[in-house]
Amino acid sequence: MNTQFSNQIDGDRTGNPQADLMDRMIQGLYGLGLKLEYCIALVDESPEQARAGLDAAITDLGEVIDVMRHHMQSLRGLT
Amino acid sequence: MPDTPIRVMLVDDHEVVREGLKALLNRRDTMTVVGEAGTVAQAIEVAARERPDVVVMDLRLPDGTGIEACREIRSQMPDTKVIMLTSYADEDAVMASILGGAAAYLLKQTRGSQLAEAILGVARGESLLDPQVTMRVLEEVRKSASGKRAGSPESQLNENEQKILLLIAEGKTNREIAAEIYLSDKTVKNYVSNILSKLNMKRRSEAAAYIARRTPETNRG
Repeated sequence: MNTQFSNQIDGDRTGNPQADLMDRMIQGLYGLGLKLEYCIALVDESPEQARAGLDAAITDLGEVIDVMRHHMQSLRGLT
Repeated sequence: MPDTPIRVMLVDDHEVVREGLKALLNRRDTMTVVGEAGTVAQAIEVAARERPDVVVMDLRLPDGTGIEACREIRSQMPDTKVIMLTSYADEDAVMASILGGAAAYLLKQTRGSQLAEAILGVARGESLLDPQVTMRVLEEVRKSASGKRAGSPESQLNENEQKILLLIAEGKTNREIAAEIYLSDKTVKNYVSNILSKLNMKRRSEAAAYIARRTPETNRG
């Protein structure tokens, strides 16, 4: 998956892979939380948009998990 | 409620965070997102162009820290308020942010609705610390109030910062300092920016001169 979030996997910003992973995880999860909060706001006025937003949020969650899995595997030298 | 919407700028290198915040904040009549940036350099440039009322700033940016960007923006536009929105609750970052002129320090678990309230608050001139970081800051303030007040300015620095200050005074580059104390260049850069901020200095040469003046054996005056 070649998205904005996944693209950030390879950038080594601090020289500390654990700190970088932690930072990316927090950013990804925080962004996801904001998206869910936006969906709550849309529930009454536009249920269809809210539904689409929730769907996108689940995709984002999958990406966060992918990033974590990819990173953990590279730390263990499995990839 | 203000007559015109508060002009908000978002500085974060993670688009997913910027997009989420923008969508939530733009739903409100009281504020509008007028600019976005993903680096320190962009932040300074966009702020100078858009002249926002409030900047929401990430701490960690690819080319430096949000504290540097905060200081620069505030020196050019003292009326612009800066809210630090970050993943980190460590007291050094909080103190450096406050000394750098930030009006609020919030953690990246603050809901969009709470951030919107914070934006309205700082626009009115209020200051705000995340409850989770307040305790740490109070501890730091108490520490510096008890016994350190009469001390030298560098007593505000923690152990690592004092060590790095001496290495700066020796004329070492960030890379050389990083190699010497086993930290990354980026971490050293953050330390140097905190040190300068705590000592109220702009350049590392000022810090070196300060140490030279203070150390008796190098005091030529």
